[in-house]
Amino acid sequence: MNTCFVNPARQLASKGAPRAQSLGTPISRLAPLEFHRLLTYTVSDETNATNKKFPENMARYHPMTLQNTTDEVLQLASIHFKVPREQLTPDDDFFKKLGINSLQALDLLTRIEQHFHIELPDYELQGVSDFRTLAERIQSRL
Amino acid sequence: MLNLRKYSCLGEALRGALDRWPDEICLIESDRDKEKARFTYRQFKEAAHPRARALQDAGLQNGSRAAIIMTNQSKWLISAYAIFFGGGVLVPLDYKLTAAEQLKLLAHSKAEFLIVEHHLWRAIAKEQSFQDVAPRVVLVTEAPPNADLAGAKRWEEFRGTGEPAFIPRARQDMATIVYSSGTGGRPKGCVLTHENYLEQCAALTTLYPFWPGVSYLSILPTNHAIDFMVGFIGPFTCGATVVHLRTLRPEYIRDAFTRYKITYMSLVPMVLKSIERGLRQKFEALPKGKRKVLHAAIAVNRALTRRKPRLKISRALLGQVHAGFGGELRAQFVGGAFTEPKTLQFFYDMGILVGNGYGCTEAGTVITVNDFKPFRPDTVGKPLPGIEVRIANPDAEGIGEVAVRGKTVMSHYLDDPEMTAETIVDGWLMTGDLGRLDAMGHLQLFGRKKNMIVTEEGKNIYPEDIETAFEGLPVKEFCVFAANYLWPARTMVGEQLIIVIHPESGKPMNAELAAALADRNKRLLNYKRISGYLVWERDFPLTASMKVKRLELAEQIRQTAGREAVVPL
Repeated sequence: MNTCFVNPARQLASKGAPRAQSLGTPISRLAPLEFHRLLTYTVSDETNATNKKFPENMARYHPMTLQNTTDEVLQLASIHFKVPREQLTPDDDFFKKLGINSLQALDLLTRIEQHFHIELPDYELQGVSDFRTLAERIQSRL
Repeated sequence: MLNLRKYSCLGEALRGALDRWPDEICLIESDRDKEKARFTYRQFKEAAHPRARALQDAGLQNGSRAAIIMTNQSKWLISAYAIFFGGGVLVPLDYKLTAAEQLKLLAHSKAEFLIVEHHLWRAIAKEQSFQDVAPRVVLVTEAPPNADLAGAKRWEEFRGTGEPAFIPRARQDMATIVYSSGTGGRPKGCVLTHENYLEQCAALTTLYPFWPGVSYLSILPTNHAIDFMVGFIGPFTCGATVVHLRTLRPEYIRDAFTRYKITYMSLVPMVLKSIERGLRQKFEALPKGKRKVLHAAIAVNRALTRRKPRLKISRALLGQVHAGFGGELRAQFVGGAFTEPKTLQFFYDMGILVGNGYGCTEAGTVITVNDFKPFRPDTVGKPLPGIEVRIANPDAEGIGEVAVRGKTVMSHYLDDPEMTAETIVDGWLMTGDLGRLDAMGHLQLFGRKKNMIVTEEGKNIYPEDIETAFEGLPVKEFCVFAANYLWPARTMVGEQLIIVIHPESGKPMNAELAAALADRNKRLLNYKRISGYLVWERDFPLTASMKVKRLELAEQIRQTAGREAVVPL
């Protein structure tokens, strides 16, 4: 799984609002929530876990399911804290696994916000220590 | 500043401040890089008085208890002032506790009123017991338009008409009930009087004065004693400005420094370390030539400030570094947990003053703080004016339990005379911390005598508070200890909790049980978790009421097992 640094929705919009492939609707007619979902579409690259660049030949679009969100959170954590992706699982206690404190976890939250284009107040991290729950909190705001 | 000795209670002193500096800015609420609210002292009064009136209309009277559960924001201070104005007793609760823990403390404090943020109230209202325990009047802030408030009222709409009646309180009367622990075990509700606060505030502002135009950056939770004092009472009674920042993210802290020209701030070692790390990385990234110039400037500054700080010289020598802190910073205060001397020295060498301090809620916030006369990175400073510190039962090296006496020491623990008697002995507050006073009167800390740990975030964790998480484990009995309590170590870093397990006979500790233990451990907040277990095959010594005699058990363990017997989780 890799991060989509090129926003597919913006690319499509710039070409005179063609159809959004997976939704089958012109972008101009999308409801705000659908448009937001399109903005947060991601590109997966499961074979090259630590490659930060957008691998064009591997690109495929898919909607943000909890599974995808969780995968992307793990990928972001892997890049941010330089831990091999394969060592991280959704149920890991990220404080323990990454050896970080609550302030460093907030750093990760900032990175996540930038990636998903959402805003997560600090308190969203309260009582959360595993990737899966963190992904659920993110998913509820997508 | 106001002459606090002339006032009998916090409500009166704060009222005096609001009338004295009507056009000064008292409070700014900033969320990330967006400013959400700004109040002059007059506007603050205009926001607080209708709430005070509405609280009185709802039954608030002299001595009524009102709790606040909120993150740092303007409504916290407005509500607190409204409560004090109406003669109420404030119960500030930690917003980071779980809803069940908050309900437990609400019940213990017998609070009749509660002011709470909507997201926190939502969690409380999900608890089964909330209707039996929740205070009579609940005000919820920032609730979305169609939210189900579960019987609560909206803070924003809670305004009375007409002027509220000011209810004065005596100096010895209860001002607040602040819980220092007891979410799982026995609640420790420190009863602090108006005198405790007024005396503490007068002492602190003698050392570090505030005045109109001074900005204090508040990032520590206001429910904690330190921010309540230096991020509310102190600045307000001097006409200064409090800047609330609703995030702890370093990038926004840096931004707030420059945007609001911060003069003072308090922080915990973890945040200080993060700032240090960021600065060191920046220095490393400089081109070689610039880095050399910087290190030379730091060396010159170090030589010139050996005896005392010289802010003007430091700012001239290291202008860019100081500009990163807003250019007006006079001092930062660090406390709540152990701070490494080399971190303090790192900042002092650049002319960024970080005053290392020590205190506890029971002592009304601060006991000692560094006054930079001269700078000492190896101590927590000297006692505040009016506070006596002695070392009880010192050993050959002069190290013993730190005892404190003075007008800032709490009155008692709420509804617990037994624990009060154990903690305040002959007028001296026994802190449970081990320290030594040196020839210059500075206090050095060496570890703890009490069974608890302090995390790097400055959180005090008591074993009794987390034991409930392990109830129901298929073992005969268990008990949680601070590892350094079982095996005393003269250190205040890397403190850990462990669980002592006495398995059922014929059911030895196995992988299944270890997994069950790990699973329960995971349910605790990350900073409250135990780090290992010790298997103990003997019966625990018990009191007549079947409670574990912790002291005796600890002594038995100490004599027969060492740290190496602990199995990491």
